[in-house]
Amino acid sequence: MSTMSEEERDSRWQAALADSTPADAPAELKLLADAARQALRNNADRLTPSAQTTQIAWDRLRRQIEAKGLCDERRHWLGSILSPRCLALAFSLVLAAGIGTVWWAMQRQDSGIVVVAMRGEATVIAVADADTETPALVAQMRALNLAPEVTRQADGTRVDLPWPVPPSDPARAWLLKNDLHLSPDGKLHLYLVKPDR
Amino acid sequence: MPSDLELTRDIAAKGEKARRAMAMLFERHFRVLCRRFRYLFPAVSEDEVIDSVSACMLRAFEQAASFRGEASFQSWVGGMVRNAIIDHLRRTKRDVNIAHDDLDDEAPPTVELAGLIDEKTPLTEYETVCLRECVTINFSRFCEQYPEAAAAIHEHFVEHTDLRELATLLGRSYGATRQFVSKEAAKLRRFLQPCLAHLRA
Repeated sequence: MSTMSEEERDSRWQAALADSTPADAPAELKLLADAARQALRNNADRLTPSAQTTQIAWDRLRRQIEAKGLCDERRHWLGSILSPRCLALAFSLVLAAGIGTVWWAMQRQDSGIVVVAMRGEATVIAVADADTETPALVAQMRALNLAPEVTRQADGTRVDLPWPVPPSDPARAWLLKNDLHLSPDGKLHLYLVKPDR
Repeated sequence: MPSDLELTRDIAAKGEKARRAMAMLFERHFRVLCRRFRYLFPAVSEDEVIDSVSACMLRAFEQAASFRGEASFQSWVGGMVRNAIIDHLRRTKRDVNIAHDDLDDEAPPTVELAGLIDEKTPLTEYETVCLRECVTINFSRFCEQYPEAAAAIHEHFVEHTDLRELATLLGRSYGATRQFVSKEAAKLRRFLQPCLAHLRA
């Protein structure tokens, strides 16, 4: 190994850095590349906006989108068409559960009001018929090959996806469509509560 | 999972689909774009980067009908963000702080390491911790001196970003980007190698 040229060493270093280390790469290069990749990842994590910052940025961008009329469908977005009861429910949820951000609230045709809010990294959904909606949601998740863990709690039901859902998983689109936003590590922490409980 | 091109078509068509498409594009790209530009422009605050990325995503949504998908959505918006940040830095009279090719060889000289470590004498746990700490410190120095190089190395070697996309991000040609990444990776090695030498000296 001592006779390895600098060019050869650089080429093996680049392979090691890209995590495609040739089997015959010198041990010291592998070690150094591992440590360097970790330092690069740590720096990237530090520079990536937190979930809360991202949520704030989206809330602001969403208002700008609405103001510019880029989207005709307004009923889902908080701050647009909300009944007084819906708004009152949103605020009571914030006060009662210590929830940071109410995401959106809407009056549904079938079963009344739904409020989606954030508590830390968890999503809270308050829905009038939580007892019947929870099994349906869990069944849909299972149909998408997700493995939800369901825990009954005093104030409702907790549904967790304890293993990260990979970015390439088609289930992600379904989750997003249903406003079930994943935490930065790709997991889901969800509370379904009855607003009047 | 709809492609970025399909989503931009949904935006152009407006309606409920547009709202979902914008939310999906935001979720896919916002955090990556912020990370990239914070890596690339350490003199710019997080808030400034977030403002620039948000403004450019809004512009991209407005111009969604003109997106043809020749480059990726991230490259398209990334190009806008890059120009916006450079304009902002010039307006606020700050250094644009982009590495130049003549910023060469302030790195420590190469240390010959061959044979210092082999498979028969693996590092102890303590040595591994020391190595990681030393690499973290030396990497910070590298980042301070060569932010663009650190960003490019992260994108190419850790995120496996294609060199053509990286070229758009850096505002360089494909050939120049390839050369830049290779040269800067070698420079990073020279920054980090003394950590191993100290360990087994």
